[in-house]
Amino acid sequence: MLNKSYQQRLEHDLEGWVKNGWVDRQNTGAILADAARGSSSTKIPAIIGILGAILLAAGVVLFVSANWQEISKLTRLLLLLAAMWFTFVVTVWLKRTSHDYLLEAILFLGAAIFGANIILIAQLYHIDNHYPDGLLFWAVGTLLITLFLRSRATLVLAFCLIVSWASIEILEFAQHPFWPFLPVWLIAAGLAYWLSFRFAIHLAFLSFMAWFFSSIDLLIKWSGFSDSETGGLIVLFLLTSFIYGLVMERKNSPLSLGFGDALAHYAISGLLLIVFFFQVETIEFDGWPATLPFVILAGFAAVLVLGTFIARSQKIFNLTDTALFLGFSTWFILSWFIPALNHLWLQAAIYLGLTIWLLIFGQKQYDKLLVILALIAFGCQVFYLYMETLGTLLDTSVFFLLGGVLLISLALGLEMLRRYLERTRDPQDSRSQEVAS
Amino acid sequence: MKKPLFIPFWVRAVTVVLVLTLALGFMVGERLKILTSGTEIVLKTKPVDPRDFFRGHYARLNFDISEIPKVANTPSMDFKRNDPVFLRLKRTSNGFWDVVYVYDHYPEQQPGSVIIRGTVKSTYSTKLRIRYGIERYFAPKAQALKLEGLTRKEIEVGVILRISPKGEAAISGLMIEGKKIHEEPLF
Repeated sequence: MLNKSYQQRLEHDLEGWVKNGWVDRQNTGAILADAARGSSSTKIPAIIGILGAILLAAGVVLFVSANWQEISKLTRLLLLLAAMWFTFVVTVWLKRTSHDYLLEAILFLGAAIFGANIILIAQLYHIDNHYPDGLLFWAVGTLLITLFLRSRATLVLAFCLIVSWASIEILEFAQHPFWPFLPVWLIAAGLAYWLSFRFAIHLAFLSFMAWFFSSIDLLIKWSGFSDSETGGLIVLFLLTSFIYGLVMERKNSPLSLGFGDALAHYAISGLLLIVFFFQVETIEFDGWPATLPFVILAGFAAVLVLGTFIARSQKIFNLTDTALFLGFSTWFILSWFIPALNHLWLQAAIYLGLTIWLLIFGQKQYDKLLVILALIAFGCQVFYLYMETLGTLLDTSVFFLLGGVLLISLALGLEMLRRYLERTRDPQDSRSQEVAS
Repeated sequence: MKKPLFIPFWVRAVTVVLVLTLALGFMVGERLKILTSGTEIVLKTKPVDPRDFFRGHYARLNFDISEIPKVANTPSMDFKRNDPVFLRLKRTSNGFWDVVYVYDHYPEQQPGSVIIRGTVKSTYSTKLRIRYGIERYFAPKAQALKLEGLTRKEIEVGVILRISPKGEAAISGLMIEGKKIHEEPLF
């Protein structure tokens, strides 16, 4: 369905582009044919293959867990080892016969059978050592397969195993901050980057965030930083990630792998969440930062300012965007250190201001997700204010009435500005087109 | 410009599967080494039957040395969770081996005793709970339940272990009322 609607949209857009003279009519057929060829339907056999591999892997693990004593230990061991070897022989055959679409599924199965072998050995010899180590062993083997055979499916499996291993260590064995996660994660993230595999880069980002936030209280204790210093640093880190995400995306930097927009979206989601929750939670103010945290904060702030000016020079931000972004950034960092800034209505107004700016900025950048995120944050904030001020209806109603009038005025003003800009720009555009022709 | 090194797919596939096989072989080899050359001891236990998601049914083994009194055997040590712990075991008159002293490091070997390595699972003011990595005896459901039933009838169940010179333990058989009823095959 999605593909069909994309085709229809493309056909419609192409019609417009031909009329504008941007695309030759004789090329439209080739563009549409290419879009049809690159459709997700060609991936269906590969996806079904992966599903088949998951079922087969489950079957193998169940065979192991049945602990069938009629078969000797050696036979069971050899059977599973042979199954693992068989999958690799099949992958070589698939590669040679150009059945690449099943390659990933069989490699996934091979990695799963490697895990089944670990489980079998632990069962046969009654090994009950620290059991997450088994998951780590499995993950390392799976990463080796990824490295040697450039497999994407095994990289996804490796991320699942790494997250499971770290989760068990953190939740069941209270091992946190769980530092061993970092080197293993780094290898997996490096492989995701090396394979230019966007989905795995997302997994890398999300798994790192999950580790970071699950260990944040202990990381604070470990670092010796106060709550305010840590809060300020996190906000700065998210703001910096947002700005560099935008810059990477615009510059089409080879470093970003097209991940710039995702980085910006993750960062802004994190920022909106943190600022929202810390207006709900009472912040313990610990005064101004000590020397080391101050130096780190200042360093990060310098990187943020530099990023903002790069965004300005790349024309991602106009002057207003630059001023607003720096203003919001300053406010959200200082509010961790100056108690007076944490007044409910003041914070609410600034937060709503941020969401409105993001909405406008997202619309200008044709960034639908950013618009949606801003809308959700706006809605949540309004709902929070409503709940918070229930009982002081007069104040609440005045706030909403004023806010509503302001927003409608803003909408009118923006539309008038847009029309004015279009009117003043059109003659220039037509002149430049004439010169070009 | 220098051409990137091209290694055929089949070479890479064979290499990786060889590495994985060697890793699994090492895992089996480690166990075989303990089972063939380790010192044999018997520990008294009480099995309970639960189920592992991946590895199937097993009898959970609760050894007498899984919980040891802190005051009697650890006069000056302050153990924390996940700390390594070393126990000197000696054979008692009833044929089972029991703890005589607890150390936070691997102590000197003494004739007539073995050292087993464990990890502190939890600490209490008067006792320590310790894991040795041998707390699960994997068996088909009927066998696991039978083992559990024996304990209910107050029949003495012993687990025969092999202990490596480093203090690692591996299960090598089962003993009921002083008689060896099962010996784990190596393969």
